[in-house]
Amino acid sequence: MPDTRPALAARSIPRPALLCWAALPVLGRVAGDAMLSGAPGASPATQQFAYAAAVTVCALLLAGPTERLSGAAQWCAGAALAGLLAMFSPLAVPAPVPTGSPATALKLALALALVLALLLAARALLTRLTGDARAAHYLVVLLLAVTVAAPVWLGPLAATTDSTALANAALLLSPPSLLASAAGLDLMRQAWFYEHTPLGGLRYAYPPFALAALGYLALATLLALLPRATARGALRFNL
Amino acid sequence: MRRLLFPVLWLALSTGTAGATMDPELRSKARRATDYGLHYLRQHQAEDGSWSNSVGITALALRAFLESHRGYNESDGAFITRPIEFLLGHVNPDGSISETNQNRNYNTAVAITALQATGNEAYRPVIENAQAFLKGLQIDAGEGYDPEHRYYGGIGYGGDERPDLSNQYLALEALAATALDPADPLWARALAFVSRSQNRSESNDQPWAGNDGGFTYMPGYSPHGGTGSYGGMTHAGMLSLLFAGVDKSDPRVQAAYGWIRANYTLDENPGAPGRQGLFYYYNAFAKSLYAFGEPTLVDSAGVAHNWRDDLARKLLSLQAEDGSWVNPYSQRWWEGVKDLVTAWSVIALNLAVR
Repeated sequence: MPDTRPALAARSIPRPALLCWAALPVLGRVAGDAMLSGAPGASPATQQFAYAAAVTVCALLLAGPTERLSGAAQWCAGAALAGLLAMFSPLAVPAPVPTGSPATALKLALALALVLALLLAARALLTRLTGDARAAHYLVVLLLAVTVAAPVWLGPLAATTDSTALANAALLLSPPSLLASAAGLDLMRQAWFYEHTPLGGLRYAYPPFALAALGYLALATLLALLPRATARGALRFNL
Repeated sequence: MRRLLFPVLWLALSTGTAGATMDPELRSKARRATDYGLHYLRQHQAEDGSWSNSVGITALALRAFLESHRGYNESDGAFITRPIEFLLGHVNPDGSISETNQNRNYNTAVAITALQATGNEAYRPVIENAQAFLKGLQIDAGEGYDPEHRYYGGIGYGGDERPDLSNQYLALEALAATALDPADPLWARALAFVSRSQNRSESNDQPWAGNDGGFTYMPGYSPHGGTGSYGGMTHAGMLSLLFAGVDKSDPRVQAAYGWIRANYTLDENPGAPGRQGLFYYYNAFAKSLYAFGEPTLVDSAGVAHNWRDDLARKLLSLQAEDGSWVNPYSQRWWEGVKDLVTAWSVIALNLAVR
């Protein structure tokens, strides 16, 4: 059914979104605990990272249409808050409350908001280009999977060419690297990545958090503004 | 017994074992090769005394100088004192010595090994704080791991929870070098992890454990596929056993030595494809056979090898005109970094020519 109250929808938060916001910390906590189940001694920073990553994915999957910038911004801010709640609230999950640093948690919340902003902006652009919101959503989920796995598919090439630049590019492409940078974690030496990519055996450096965050913000802004540029109908693809 | 054996072992590693035999002409050439290697390092030292702007590489290069046949020490000048200042300048409040959150175990371990090699007691407080940091990295009940867990007793890079035998051996080397109490419970816990990295089912309770006596990277995983043993890790594993106070007659050490005899070669890192980790292997090879204390190794085909001669010949053949070494076949594990590979090679030659 078409929305007959566009102005109102832009000003207020839709009720389903409120429900999703309420569910996000719980979902993030449950999914984060599932990620951590194989590592009983995970450090507080690792726990915080897992909850932030889980909230990011859940927030993307639950996000409704966010064509308007204000809606996307509200959703990102809500997800960041949900991330903080997942990190510091016991909720109903029978796991100990993490004792990580609040400063790290805030950086992680910012990082997850930026990653989400970039993904939502990409989705809005794809929706504009294809005219199919569902297809755009699936494409962005696929894009997320591909970029998360960048160290896996770029790692062998970086190892073959001994390219520190390529290794660093693989990290820059992969959104979890921004979260890892915020948490001060060496993600490439964690068991899963170390076993699935040779990147952990190469010389590499995580981008400084501030620089990477600015990069994400700039790219998200660019993608968010592009639909306005294409609003005149110059670009539209049919899937 | 361990209390007695422990300092004896480290003394053997730091001052040399009796009965070392090496072809005199080859020894002379090998000493010249270390001089060329050290000259290369001098030429590539940064103004602040560091190499590659890395605590780890700086510490290894410093150790190469301090343990060389030239007997360099702090009175020789800024090329020795500045790298020490660089290391001390990266001491963190938690006791670690590192310029980055990555590799904190590796960097701290090699840094205190180098500081210890200066023989300067003024660095003792820094060393003791770093020992406490390294001890804190060990995975045990404090992190929620019970003794049955495959990670129990292990130490990793220091920025995560995944331990591995390579980082474990470097931490144990550092703790042994800096005289951590042999009665410290760390050693017994470390042995649990080391034993679970060995392909020896009699002492390894993991279901994947084979029986060739060699070591893999960590319980249940080798970067070369499966859980196969390979050269670099088998020498690291044998060293870890010796550092933890296990006698060389112990079946675990003998099994590791048996694997080394069966796979004796300097043409590759046995068990690793594409000569990956070749110079790490040479470095660990020199340290472990030096610590084991047998000048001649008889391989499983009955052929006797003077490992010092073989190692020196191989490293001489691989040295570049400028005095450096680098792995031309694989850059994995930083073996494309000349400063690092040159430092490793000089340390290996230093042990061979003693």
